[in-house]
Amino acid sequence: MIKRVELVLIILILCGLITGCYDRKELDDMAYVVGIGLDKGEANFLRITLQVAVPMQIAEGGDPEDTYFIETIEAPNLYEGLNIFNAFLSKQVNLSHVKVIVFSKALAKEGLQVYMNEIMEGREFRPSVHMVVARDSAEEYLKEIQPMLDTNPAKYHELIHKSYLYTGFSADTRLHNFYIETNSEYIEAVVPLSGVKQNNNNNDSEEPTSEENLEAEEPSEEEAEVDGELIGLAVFKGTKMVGELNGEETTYHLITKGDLGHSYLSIPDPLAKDKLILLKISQDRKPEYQLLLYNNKPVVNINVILEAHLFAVESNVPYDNIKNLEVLEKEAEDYVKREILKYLHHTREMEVDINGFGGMLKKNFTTWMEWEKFNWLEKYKESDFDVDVTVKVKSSGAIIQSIPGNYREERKEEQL
Amino acid sequence: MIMESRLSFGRWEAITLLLNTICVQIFIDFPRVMAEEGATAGWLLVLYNSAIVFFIFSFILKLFLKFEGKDLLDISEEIGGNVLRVIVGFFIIIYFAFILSMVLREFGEGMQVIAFPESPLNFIIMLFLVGIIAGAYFGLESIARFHVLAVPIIIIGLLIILLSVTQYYNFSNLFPVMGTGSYNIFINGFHRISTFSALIILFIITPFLKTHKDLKAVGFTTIGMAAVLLTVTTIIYLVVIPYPVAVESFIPIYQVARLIDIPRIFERIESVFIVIWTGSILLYLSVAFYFLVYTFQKTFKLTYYRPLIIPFAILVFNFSLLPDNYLSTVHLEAKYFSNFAWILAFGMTIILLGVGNIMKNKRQKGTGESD
Repeated sequence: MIKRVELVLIILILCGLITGCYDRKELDDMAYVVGIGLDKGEANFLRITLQVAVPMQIAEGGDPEDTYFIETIEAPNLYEGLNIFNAFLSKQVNLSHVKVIVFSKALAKEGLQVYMNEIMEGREFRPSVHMVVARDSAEEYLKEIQPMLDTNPAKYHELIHKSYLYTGFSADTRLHNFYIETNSEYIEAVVPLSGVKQNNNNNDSEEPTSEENLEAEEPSEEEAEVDGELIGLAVFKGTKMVGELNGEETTYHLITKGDLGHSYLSIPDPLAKDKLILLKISQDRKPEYQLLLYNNKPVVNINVILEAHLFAVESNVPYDNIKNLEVLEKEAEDYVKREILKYLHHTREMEVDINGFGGMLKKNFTTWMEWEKFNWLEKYKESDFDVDVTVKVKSSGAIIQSIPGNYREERKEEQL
Repeated sequence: MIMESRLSFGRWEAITLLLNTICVQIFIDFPRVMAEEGATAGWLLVLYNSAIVFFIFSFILKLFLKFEGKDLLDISEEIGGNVLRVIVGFFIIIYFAFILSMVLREFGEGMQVIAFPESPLNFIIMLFLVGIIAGAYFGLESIARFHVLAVPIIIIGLLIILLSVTQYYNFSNLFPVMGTGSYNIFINGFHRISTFSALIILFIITPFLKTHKDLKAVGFTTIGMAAVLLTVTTIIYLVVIPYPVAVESFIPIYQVARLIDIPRIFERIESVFIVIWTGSILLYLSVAFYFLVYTFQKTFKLTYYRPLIIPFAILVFNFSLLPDNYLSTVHLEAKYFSNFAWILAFGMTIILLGVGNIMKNKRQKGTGESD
C-alpha cells in the first residue's frame, strides 16, 4: 500500500516536470511577427521591418489596418535587430508565425547568402515561409499592403501567394525550396517580385534597370488604390539576383514548369486583323521533356499541352465552327510557342536554368563527382530549345453558338 | 536472478525490442549520415549493409546451433572460464555505456534545440534518466511487452510523416545512382554495418528465447524489417531534401516533418513527431540501460542487478555530459562507434562462437560423444 502511494506520487511529480515548465511561455506574452522586410540600411547595416499582428483586433474583426503594425529599425544583422525590437516592444518577438520574408532588390543583387544562413539556423522560421523580392523597398512594400478583404494579415499573405494559380503572374517560392534551389547543381531559384503600385507614377527604383530587366507588364484591368502587387519573378544565380521576368514571361515559366493553374491569354485573331481573342488557358498535364546532348551541346525538347476556353472574340468571326476553331488552335499554338521560346532565350541570356532541365541529365551519370564535373549550370547557356505546343480549345464558355456577326446589318438591308 | 532465469518472452516482443533498438537511429541522424557517406546512393549503402548483416547473421546462426539457450557470456565462460567471461562482459559493458551516453546526449541536445531552448541540458537529460531508471526497475519483460504496444504506433507515425510529404518528392534526387562511387559505398561503407550492431542484444537474450528456431526467426525478421524501414526512410529523405543540402539537416526526419503543411488543416505536425521520437528514444535508452546493468550483473555473477541501477545511472549521466557540445558528440560517435561497433557485435561474436565450435568438436572427437 505504501509503495503504491509512493509510486503515484512519483508519477504525479514527473507529470508536472515533463510538461516543459522551464520553457513555459504564455501565448499572450509574445508578439507574433507575420512579415519581415530586409533592406540595405546605412553604413552596412541591415534595415529590418517587422509586420506584427495584433491578435485582439483580429479576434474582434476590427478594421484591417488595425490588425497589424509595422516597425523598422537598423541593426548589423537580423537577430541583433530582433533583440532591439525586444527592447522596446512590450512582448517578446516570436517568429513562428512569419508568413513572408521580403528582401529588397538591392539586397538580392548583392547576394542573400548571409541572410539565408541566419534564417536557416533559426529554429522558429518555418520552411513554408514565402519569399518575396521587393522592386523598391521591403519596408515600403510591407507598409503599403492594405488587406482590404482580410482582417487577418497572416491569411492575407497566405492567399496572395496562392494567386499565381489563377493569375499566372508569380510563383510560390518558399524558404525550403529557395534554399534547396540556391544550393542545387541543376536548377536556379526564382522569387516573386513585388512592387508598390503608384497610380500614374513611375516606380522610384533605387537601381537603374539593366538591358536585361524588362518592365513588368500590368494587368489589363485598371486598379484603384491597390498597393502591393505580385507580378513577375526575380531570377537568381545562386543567391544573387541576376535578372527579372515580367508578368507574361512568368506565365510561360509556369507553363514550362507545369505549375500553371489557369490564366488569361489574349492572342491576335487569325481571321480578323487588329482584333484580339481572349482565351482562358489551363494546364492539366505536366509538360514532357527530353534533354539530349549533341556534341556536348544540350538540346531541350519540350512538349506542352494546354487546354483553352474561348472567352471573348472582339471580331464577329464565328469560332463555334470547327474549321475556324482549328485555325484558332493553330494560332494559339504558334503564339504560345513563340512566347515560350522568347522566355527560354531570355533565361539562356541570363545563364540560368530556372526550369530544372538539368535534372533529366543526372541519370546519364554514374557518380556524383562526374555530374559535378559536367557542371550543367555553366553549360545551360549553350542550350538549344525545341518547343512543341498543343492547345485544345475545349469550349466557348456559356455560349454554344453565336449569332452571325453581321446579322443586324443583313436584317436591316432586307427590310430596306 | 531467480526471476530472470524464469523470464521468457515471445518472438514478437523480441522483434519489436530489437527493431526499435536498431531503427532508433532514424530519429537521430541516420538519413543524414547515409547522405554524407553515399550522397545520392545513401539508400544503396543501407541495402548493401543490410545484405552483409544478413549473411553474417546466417553464419552466426549456424555457429549458435551448438550453444542453444546460451548467450555470449555463457559461451565465453565455457571457452575461457571466468577470465574470458569478464573480458567479453567488459567490452559489452563499454559498448552499452558508450552508446547510451552518446544517444542520451544527442537526444538531450535535440530536445533543447527543438522544444526546450531555455531548459538546461542536464535537466532534460536527468528527466529522461528517471524514465530509464524506472524501465530498468520494472525489468526486461515489462520493457519488451511495452515495445509490443509502442513500436507499431511509432512505425505508423513515422510512415505518416514520410507519406505526408509526397508533394516534395523528386525522384531525380536519387541520381546519379552510384553517388560517391562504388569504392566509397562498397569498401569504405563496409563499417556502416555498425548500424546493426544492436543485434548484440539478440546474442545476449538467447536464454530468454525458447529455441534456436526462435532465435533464427527473430533475427531474420528484425534484420528484414529494419532494412526496409532504414532504406525507405533514407530514400524518402533524399527525394525530399536533395544532396548536398541533405547533409546539413539537424535531426533529418524532424526537418521532413516540418514540411508538412496544409494551411489551416494540418500545420506544425512536427509536434506529433516529437511524441514518437521521444517514445522511440526512451524505449531504446531503457533497453540499453537495462542490458548495461544486466551484463554487469552477469559478468561478475552478482545476485541482483537492481542495486546497480542508480550508480550506473549516475555514471551514464556524467558520461553524457563529458563531450563539450553536440558536434563533439556526433564526432565521437562517428569516429569510434560507427568504425568499431561492428567489430564488437559481429567480429567478437564470430570469434567466440568459432572458437567455441572448434573446442566442442575437439571434445566430441576426444570423448567420442555426440551432443
